[in-house]
Amino acid sequence: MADSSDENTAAESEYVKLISEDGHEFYIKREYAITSGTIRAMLSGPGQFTENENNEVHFREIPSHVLQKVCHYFMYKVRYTNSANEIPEFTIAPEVALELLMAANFLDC
Amino acid sequence: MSYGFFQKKFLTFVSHALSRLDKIDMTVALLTETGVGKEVNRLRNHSELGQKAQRIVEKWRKLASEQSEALNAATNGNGSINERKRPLAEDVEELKPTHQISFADALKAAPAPKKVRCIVKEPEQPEAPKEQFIQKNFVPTLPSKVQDEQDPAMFGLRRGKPMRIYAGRKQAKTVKKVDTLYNLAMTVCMQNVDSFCYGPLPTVYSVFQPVLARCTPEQLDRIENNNRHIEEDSDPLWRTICLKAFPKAAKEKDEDESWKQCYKRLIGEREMRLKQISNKIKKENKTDQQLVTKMSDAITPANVRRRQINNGTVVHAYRVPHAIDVTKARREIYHNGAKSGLASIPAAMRMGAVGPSPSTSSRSSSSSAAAAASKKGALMQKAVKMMKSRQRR
Repeated sequence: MADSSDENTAAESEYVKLISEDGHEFYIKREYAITSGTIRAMLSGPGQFTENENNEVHFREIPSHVLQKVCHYFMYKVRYTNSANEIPEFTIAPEVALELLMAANFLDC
Repeated sequence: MSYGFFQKKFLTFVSHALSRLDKIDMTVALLTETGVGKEVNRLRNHSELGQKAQRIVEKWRKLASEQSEALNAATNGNGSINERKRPLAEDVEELKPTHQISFADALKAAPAPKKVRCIVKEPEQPEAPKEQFIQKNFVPTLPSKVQDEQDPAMFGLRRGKPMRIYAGRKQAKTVKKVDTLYNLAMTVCMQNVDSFCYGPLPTVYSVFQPVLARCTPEQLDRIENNNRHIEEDSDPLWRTICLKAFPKAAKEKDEDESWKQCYKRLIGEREMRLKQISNKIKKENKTDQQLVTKMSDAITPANVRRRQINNGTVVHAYRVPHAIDVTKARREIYHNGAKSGLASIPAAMRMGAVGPSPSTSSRSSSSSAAAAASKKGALMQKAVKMMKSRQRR
């Protein structure tokens, strides 16, 4: 564990960890995660936050099924931004929509 | 990995490969065996590598023609050049040991080339086979497969895989731009407001506000019933609803009541008015139904009646007989004779009181003629009176 934490404290590690309210951990690439303004600020902030040190962010209000959809959105955004091809529709199930709305509002993405 | 990135990689790789190919000492054998000439020729129309590819192909063509000329010279031109180009099993076998052996030696080892080859479509070759390759207005007389490669539209297609053709409209939904997750989720929420009416909302009013702005009043009411905290903030929403439904509500709103209460009150008043009006209409409809038309018999007016009595020309206004009765009477007369039948004639027809009724039979009229004679018609009575009065004078 000590080794991995040493790796994580590297300034610009490639992967970051997002932890949902119920403990699910999502490892995604840093470049995808910073699609969200909030996460970007957390990770590159003044440097006093634990998030900055460990490259992990804990979300205590976002459940895992919502956070998963958020990660999908990151990939969708990065893949199709400035793409000349046709962009498919990003589907959202109505059951998730409300919580996703709140999460999106919080994460500013 | 973007598409552009892959394109770049492809370019560098291919141009490197082309340079390598350029440097190789090519022979006809190699060309036929590997078919590399064809592959490089496919690049002739490429935007960046086309020139290079064409150069290389030209060089190889020259080489090939020279070499096959030498071959032809050696064997007195029995085999045609195109045959050499095809990777035929027999030739390949013999010519496999490459350019190190001279062609003359190789030929000696190989069997005499047969005239009939497996290429059936090939027409007669022109007399100058050498020029055939170098000529610019070269007419492709080769099978259609080669023609495909020279066709620019076919460039890039993978050989062996058939081209896919789709009919009909594209089914997948595409978007123009990547939207923010917030907007995407908001759209979906707006489309499904109904489902939020039945349960508590985990949100703060501010997050949900745009969605609520698009609710119908009923939905908003239901949501508020489930989530009391929304009521505190939803006043502006109710205001818009109220004004939309009742444009004059601005004046009618009381000081103390909220817009929601105002709206409810106005709705209630409207319902009351509607009820009253509909009740009125119902009543009016009822009275109309009580009018019934009655049929009355023809009655002589009072003054005419008096005159008739004075003159003695009273005419009995009998009721119009039913057709059934008339028919019965006629049958009676027909079957049972006039006398008994006469009894059953309806009163109106008897005595010929109103003149000969068309329904009476001739027999009855003739038999009652005698009776009718004693009872005179009204006109007859008048005429008799006149005569009498004249006679009296």
